[in-house]
Amino acid sequence: MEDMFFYNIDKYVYEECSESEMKLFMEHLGSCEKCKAEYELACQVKDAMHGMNNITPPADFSKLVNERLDREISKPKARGFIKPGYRKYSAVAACLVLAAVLGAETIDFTKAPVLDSSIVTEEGLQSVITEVSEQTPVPENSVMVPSPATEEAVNGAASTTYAPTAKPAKAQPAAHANKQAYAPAKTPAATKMPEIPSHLDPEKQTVLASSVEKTYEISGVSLEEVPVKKRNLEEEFALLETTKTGVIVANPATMSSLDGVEVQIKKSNTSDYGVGSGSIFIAAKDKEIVDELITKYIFVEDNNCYFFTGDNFDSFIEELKIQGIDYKEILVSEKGNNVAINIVVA
Amino acid sequence: MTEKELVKLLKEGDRGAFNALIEEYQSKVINIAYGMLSDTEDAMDASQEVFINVYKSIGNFKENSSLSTWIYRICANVCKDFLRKRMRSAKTVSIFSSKEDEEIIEIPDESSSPHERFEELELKDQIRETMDELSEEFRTVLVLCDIEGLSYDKIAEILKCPAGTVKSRINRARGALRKKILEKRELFNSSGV
Repeated sequence: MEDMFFYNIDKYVYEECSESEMKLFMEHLGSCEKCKAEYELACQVKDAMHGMNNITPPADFSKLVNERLDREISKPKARGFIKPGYRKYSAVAACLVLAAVLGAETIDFTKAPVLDSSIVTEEGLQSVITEVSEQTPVPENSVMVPSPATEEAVNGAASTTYAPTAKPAKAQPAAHANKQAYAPAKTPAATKMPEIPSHLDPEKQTVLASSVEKTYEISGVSLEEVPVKKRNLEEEFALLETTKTGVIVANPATMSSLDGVEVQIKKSNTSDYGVGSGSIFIAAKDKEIVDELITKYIFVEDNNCYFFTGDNFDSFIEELKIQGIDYKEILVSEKGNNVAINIVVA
Repeated sequence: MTEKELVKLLKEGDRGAFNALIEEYQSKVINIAYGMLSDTEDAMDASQEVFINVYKSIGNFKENSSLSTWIYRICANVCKDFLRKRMRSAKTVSIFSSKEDEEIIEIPDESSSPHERFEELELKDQIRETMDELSEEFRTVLVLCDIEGLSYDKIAEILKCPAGTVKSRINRARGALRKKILEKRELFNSSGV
């Protein structure tokens, strides 16, 4: 009986008991030093803790938040359309451009730089750019095609022209200064809901069909808006069969088979500095592992929408790798530094 | 302005509405952050991050919970993140360094032992110090419930777990806190000072 009082002491400290229970307890205290000491300490702690952190926000807190927000908004977005595995190609492309410029005999700041064809041809350069862009289909709002709202902020950072601001720029070679040259070729978007592959077993077909419906219902985004990379479905399914962990990240438009957790990224409809989003599927045999990873890396969850910071999203993908979880493709259009995903249990 | 109107303006990127939001929630957010992180600078940093995340994510706020719940949830998670980063970046510095340009560590000559020092603290500071040693799970519920005075139901909403779980966690957290305080005091008493 005494132990029961001791181990439930908070009930009496915080008065979460009936009057009669409290009366019994008080009577008990008269004869139990152990409970009396614990009760007194608990009351002291309770009183001390109540409102103990009474920090007054600094007068300029709001100003500091706004300044920091402005800095983040105007920061040129380093994260972009280039998948980690293909960043080396972008480095190669950058080196080639630099070599071409440095190879010029003179640098005339009144003229646009000219490619030194002994180092790199325009065709060669364009093919590198195309190779990079083909690996990762780029949504219209990718970082390399800055939207009007951010263009002023980055102020021509994407441009490589050396023409001084005092003089008007002359006609530029397309590969250099014309931003459109860097806009990768868009792959055709899906124009209709993809057919469920008939060679899958009926159960998988049912799961897929339900997932397709959910894509529309939850994200409110039609598949037409999702850039689609042309792919070989047979290869995808071959991968599914041989993957040990059974986890695939796939383009939602092709609707690879899903077992377990289906993760969709809802397309953002906020402003340029809103949450980045895209589409991603993870089909996991062990839902709990994926749930655990998601909980580990998110900063907030709202209903079925999960938010990652840019860095944490990277770490999340890293951990998928470490866990031996294969992934094929991520379509993430990042407008801000955050990524939001919807989770639908398939 | 109602909460609905505020959220609508926030979703439109209205900075005036954002400033009104900061004004309303800054005190609570900063104090929750301080309770979790026990460091004023970190608390300010984390609090700023909370509001920035709110601004950036408001477009996806579905209004299934109240705005305050959503904000406090972001706050708890940002603080958790800070704590994890803090643990990861904990450094050790060799005191045997021979390089002149390396930081020289001065070990202060403390006339009182750690136990004496603890005993000299006011109870609030003892609690604060002891809370630092608790798990982030326990720390979170103690901050939200016993310091900030939120109800079990509200905390359950914030942490997205059942109210029963919250209640049980708080009881265990309180017990753990008292046990640690007593242990530190007993160490002081047994040191014979």
